[in-house]
Amino acid sequence: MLRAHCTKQLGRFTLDVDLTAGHGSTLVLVGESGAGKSTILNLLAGLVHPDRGRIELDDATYFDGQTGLVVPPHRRSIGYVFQDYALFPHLSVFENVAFGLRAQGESGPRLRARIEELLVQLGIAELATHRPGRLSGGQQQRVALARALILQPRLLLLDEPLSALDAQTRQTVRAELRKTLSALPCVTVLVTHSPFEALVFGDRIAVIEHGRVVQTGAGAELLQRPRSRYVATLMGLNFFRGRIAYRDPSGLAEVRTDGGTVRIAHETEGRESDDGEILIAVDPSEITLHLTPPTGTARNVFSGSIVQLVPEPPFGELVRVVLDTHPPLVAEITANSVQTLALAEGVTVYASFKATAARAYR
Amino acid sequence: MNDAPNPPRHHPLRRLGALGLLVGAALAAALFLSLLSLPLLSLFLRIPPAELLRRLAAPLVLQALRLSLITSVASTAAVALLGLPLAYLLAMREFTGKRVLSVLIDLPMVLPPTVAGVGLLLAFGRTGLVGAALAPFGVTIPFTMIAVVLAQAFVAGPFFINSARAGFESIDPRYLQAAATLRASPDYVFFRVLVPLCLPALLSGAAMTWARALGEFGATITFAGNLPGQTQTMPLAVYVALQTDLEAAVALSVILVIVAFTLLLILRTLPLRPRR
Repeated sequence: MLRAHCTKQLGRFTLDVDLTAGHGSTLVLVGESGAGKSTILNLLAGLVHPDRGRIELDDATYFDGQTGLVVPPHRRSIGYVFQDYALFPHLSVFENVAFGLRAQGESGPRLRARIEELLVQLGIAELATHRPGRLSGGQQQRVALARALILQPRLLLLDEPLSALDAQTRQTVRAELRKTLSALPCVTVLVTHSPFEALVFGDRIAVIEHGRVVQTGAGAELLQRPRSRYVATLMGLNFFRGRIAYRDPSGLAEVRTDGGTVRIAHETEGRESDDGEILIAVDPSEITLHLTPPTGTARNVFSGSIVQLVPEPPFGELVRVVLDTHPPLVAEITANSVQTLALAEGVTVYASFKATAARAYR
Repeated sequence: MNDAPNPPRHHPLRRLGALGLLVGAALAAALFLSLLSLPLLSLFLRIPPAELLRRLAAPLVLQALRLSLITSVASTAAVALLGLPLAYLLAMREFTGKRVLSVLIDLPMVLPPTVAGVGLLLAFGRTGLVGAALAPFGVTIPFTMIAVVLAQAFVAGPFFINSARAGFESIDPRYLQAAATLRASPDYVFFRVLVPLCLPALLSGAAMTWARALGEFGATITFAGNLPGQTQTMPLAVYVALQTDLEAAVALSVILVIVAFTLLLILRTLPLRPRR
């Protein structure tokens, strides 16, 4: 069990870490670049020291601001896979992986056997004699993982493990890495700026904004109930914050938000207290676009012009359409629809979604 | 066809300018190279190879050559051994007085070697700070081989320290952090990661120090004197020979040039960079 509760003053903001993670699970720290995610890993590794607080791994205390206890990195049971992997350029793949064991004074056939077993397990046995500089990004990533895992750390830290890879390699490596990580008995903390990767890897996800954990939960929970615009935007959702202004007997309610009025079906949760603030999330794929005012049953219709068309990676089968409606909306439609409707930036459209598509919660 | 006259991409005059620059640069390079090579060439033209070999066999020459090689290697080794921690501190740590220390280390490079010799004499001479303390034990340093080594180390040390420091500073700290997270103690990281990664800088620094030590004259003659077989290194032997026997001076010089050139060439050719 990892328990980290500490603060550290950085240049732009105060890093305020409050995290727990269990063995055999992966905690993903996700957030924009510069949010302090990598610094959190460095705090856990002991490469950077907090100003105050406490970091514990199982029965070991690695940092205690009260007693002034600071355990240096080389006395912590950690493995760290750096963003650029930082493989030793002067050592072969085998010696890179052997480094940690040799530093403990191990040598001989036992060491050789352990390393060879791990190299085979990760599918890089044939690279043993190569220098890291001649490996592909995906191979380097596996070597870095092997180098960290050979010491059987109780805490594995991965900093943007896929960001140094090209798009195609990333897909295969992602699947492999996920499989490898899910079989590990240790606590794993993985940092990424990609919400998609966060959902793929994370048993739990902590969203970091300006050095703070703004929301923690399973991926499904963050997708269902983002608590802030930052989290919602990260998850690709439309998000509104408002109060119920009017409730009609047919089961509809009008919610007044900063940007405009949204109609929700008020059988949805949170109807016991109408006064409080209400949060609404709308999946962009629930929003339909029309060139003329729609005649259907959708209760929410807004008109506005297209600000931006963003093809969804990897191959742009989907397009995110950013609109200047009130409230502002993002719709996700197929590239085909963009063609048929002849959508372009500046074109005025009508966006509609059903009251039941507006997920309201408190 | 487009009738509008396209302005020439390079104006003829500008092209001439570029050509002129090239010619000028070539001339400058040639001038500089001749400044370097003419004196060396003159040395070689002055003496036939057979005569050179004959001179090489002379005991005085062999003595001086032997002494030069031993002392320069000894001073380089001493500088490398004692200078490495200092270079590490200067590169990796912040401390008060770092700038002053850096200047102090650079000082021998700009000081006239004779001044260095006088300073060494005052420190290690019979009545000097250290010399007076050593005298009761029957240890005298001036005018011994030790003095030659000290003089060379004093004058040539900065080359190694500065090169090693630049080498340490150029290492990506990620490698050291990675090593620390692999449970390597700081000294293990130093010897197994930092030093190997810095090897090119360390070796080239050692080579420069060695070359400077080999050519050391002023501090040596001031502090160690000019005793054949004891403290008379090659540069000193050349100077002495010049007073009496020009041919001998030329022979010694040519030998010194050949030795220095060969050793530097070997150092330059060694595959020092870690393969990437």
